[in-house]
Amino acid sequence: MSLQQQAVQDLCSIFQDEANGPGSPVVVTDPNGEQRRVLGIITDIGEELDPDTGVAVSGRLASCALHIRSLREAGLGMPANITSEQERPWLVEAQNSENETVNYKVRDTKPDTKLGLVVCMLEVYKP
Amino acid sequence: MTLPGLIDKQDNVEVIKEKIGTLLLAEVAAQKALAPPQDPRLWDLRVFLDRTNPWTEFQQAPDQLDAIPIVNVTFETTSIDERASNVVESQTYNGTFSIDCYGYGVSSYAPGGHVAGDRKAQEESLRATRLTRNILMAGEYTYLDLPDVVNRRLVQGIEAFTPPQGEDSATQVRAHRISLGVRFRETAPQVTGEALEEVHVTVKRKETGEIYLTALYDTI
Repeated sequence: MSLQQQAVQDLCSIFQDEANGPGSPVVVTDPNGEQRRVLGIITDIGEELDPDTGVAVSGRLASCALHIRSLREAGLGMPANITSEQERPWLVEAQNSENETVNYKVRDTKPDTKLGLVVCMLEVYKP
Repeated sequence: MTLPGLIDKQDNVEVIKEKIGTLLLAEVAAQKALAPPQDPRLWDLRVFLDRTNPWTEFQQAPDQLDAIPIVNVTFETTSIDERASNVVESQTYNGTFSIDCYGYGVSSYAPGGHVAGDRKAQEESLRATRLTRNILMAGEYTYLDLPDVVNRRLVQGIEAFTPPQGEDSATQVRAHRISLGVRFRETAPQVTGEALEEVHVTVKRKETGEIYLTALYDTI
């Protein structure tokens, strides 16, 4: 087995281990309204941004790493940014540390098709 | 020898900055009173002076109509107009004040699609910019309510701030900067003369029309 195949297999194990892995259940909704529960690695943290005003400011960065194979097996396609306001966006629903539901829209994606991972950059969404 | 009096008066540059904030607040209140039956929140602004990070107010992603656009007033620079100044009593400056208008937009559900948060943030920022520019350039405020201090005020330009590509913030905030140029006067502590001696002078006119002075005083 090559190193790359080993990495893909390891990633599968990480994303399928709900009990001991780093992932947590998220609900992914595609533009057709299909909702599926999969495991994702969610981050939502404060970080410094440069808004081009000459002063760094505190921003909020949120992302969700999803396993491409898990999405396919759940019947979903590859998440993407939906620019047109005439279409529904890809949505991710997750629980924060206080078990509160937070809704996000996928604003950008960074797929790694070699490993089988897609990192979705998220923005807050009001359903 | 030092200056005899305590320097506790604000410079006019400080007065002008605060006046800009006060005008905006007063006019926003008036606009909200005029708004009904339309939603007064669409004419609301929150006004700050000299804050470096006002848009953290939007960090917890409030609902759209509760996220009132933010205006932040700061002093940027002055340069002297030497031809209109003198080295003793008063100097004339051309100053620039930056008025940053921050708008927030949240992506949300809409029938058959969605509202894009980035577009909404830009729309809100421009709405705040529109309101601010109209207030400051209104005829009523030609001298920013400081006729003894301000000679002229003009919006010199508007610049849009957009987070650079790759800054994937989870909350959508956009800003526009209004550069307001203000021509104003500054003064400084003056020397108060000390009376050394009083001399009484009588002004007379001769029958020829010539004017002359007479005075009676001691000589050394």
